[in-house]
Amino acid sequence: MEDSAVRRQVWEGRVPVCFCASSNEFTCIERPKNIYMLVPRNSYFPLVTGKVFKYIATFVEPPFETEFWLEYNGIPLRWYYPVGLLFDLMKQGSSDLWQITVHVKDYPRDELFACSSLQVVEAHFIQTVKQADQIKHRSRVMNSIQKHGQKQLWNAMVTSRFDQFWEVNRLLMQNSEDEPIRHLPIKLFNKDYAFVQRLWPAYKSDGKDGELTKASDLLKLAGDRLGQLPIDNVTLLCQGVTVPAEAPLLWLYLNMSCPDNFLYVCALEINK
Amino acid sequence: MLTAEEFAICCRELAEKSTAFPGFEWIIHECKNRGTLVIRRTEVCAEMRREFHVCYDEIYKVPLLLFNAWHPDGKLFSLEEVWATVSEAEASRLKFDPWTMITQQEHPIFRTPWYCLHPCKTESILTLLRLSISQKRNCVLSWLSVVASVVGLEMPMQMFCEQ
Repeated sequence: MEDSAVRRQVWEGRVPVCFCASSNEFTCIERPKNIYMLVPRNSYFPLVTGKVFKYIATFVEPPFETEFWLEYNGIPLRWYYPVGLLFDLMKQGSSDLWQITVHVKDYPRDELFACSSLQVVEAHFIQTVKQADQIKHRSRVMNSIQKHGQKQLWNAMVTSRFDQFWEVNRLLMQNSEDEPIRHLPIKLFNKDYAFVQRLWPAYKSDGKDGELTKASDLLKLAGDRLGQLPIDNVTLLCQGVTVPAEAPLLWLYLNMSCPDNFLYVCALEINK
Repeated sequence: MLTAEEFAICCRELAEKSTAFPGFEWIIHECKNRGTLVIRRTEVCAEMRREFHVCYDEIYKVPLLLFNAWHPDGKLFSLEEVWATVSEAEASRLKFDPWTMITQQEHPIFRTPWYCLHPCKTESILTLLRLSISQKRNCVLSWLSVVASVVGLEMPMQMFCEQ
């Protein structure tokens, strides 16, 4: 089931982003220049926008009560979702340049978590890993990993160190007689931010030797939770790649999950 | 551990019982295509308006207490302002590890940011409660009697008494 070549490719995924300052929030004549960046799919925007915000802040007049936030087509970008997931959701499978507007005021608190420091991002990340392990192993593995192991997951993610990350993550991804994975931490997204999260079974029936659930089973298992999405007209996108209907969910999960240990799948409606 | 069905039964009982206490009522909010429900309560005073929701957490299979607070001008309380309302008994623990106790989380139904007590310890609370009280007790109500004070949620004492 484990495919380290695929894991490496998933780890190294990048999306092309252009950060543009919001046009109506600056009073000085000179406008900030656009900033182009290849952003890691499996990172979070607060981890890469420090320099962007610092540059744009030089154009902001006092008083400095600035709260930076990102927006695309009028939708505030949820910084606590992996960058690649946001890209797949917002761009609906397209791979061209992602033009993101940087705002410096009127933080939409009703829609976005506050992000006062990178500690908030780290806390959210670790919490999500814990949730994933609760689903997989009833938290037994995460509880057995010491604090420094959790710290290593975060540090390796921040510094993009694959081997250091998987040194710890292999424990969380173990699927053995001692620690079998019965349910999969998957979030199935619709075109907006609505998602289905339930106990997705790894096998069609009880027992590890049973038939594996497939990608095509996701929509059936989601039922009407995903809204009125006709099953025949849907394609599934994962890490920017169209997922074959016959792909085993367990394989997808073990090899294409984000560092937070969730597999994010986007259900896109096929245009006629 | 609590099943979704048990949770729904406990919430209906809790909401029904709360009707006897004006000002402390919990209202049931049905979620049609989710097969679940939320109970909520609103408090208003001069300094702020607060809303409390009890939802079912499908990952940890425990009840989840979510809340938000707004200033009179409608502005949402910041995390630091919320921490300031936490009971003194928990304040020392907050200083030790502030980000893991009360954090913002997406509301399971509305998907908007809400403050919550992290549910990963709730299971052990429920286990202790079940060991120490009669099986007939409402375990969501019992759990609420433990966590309500942490977030400054007032509950009338009589609600916890046997009827």
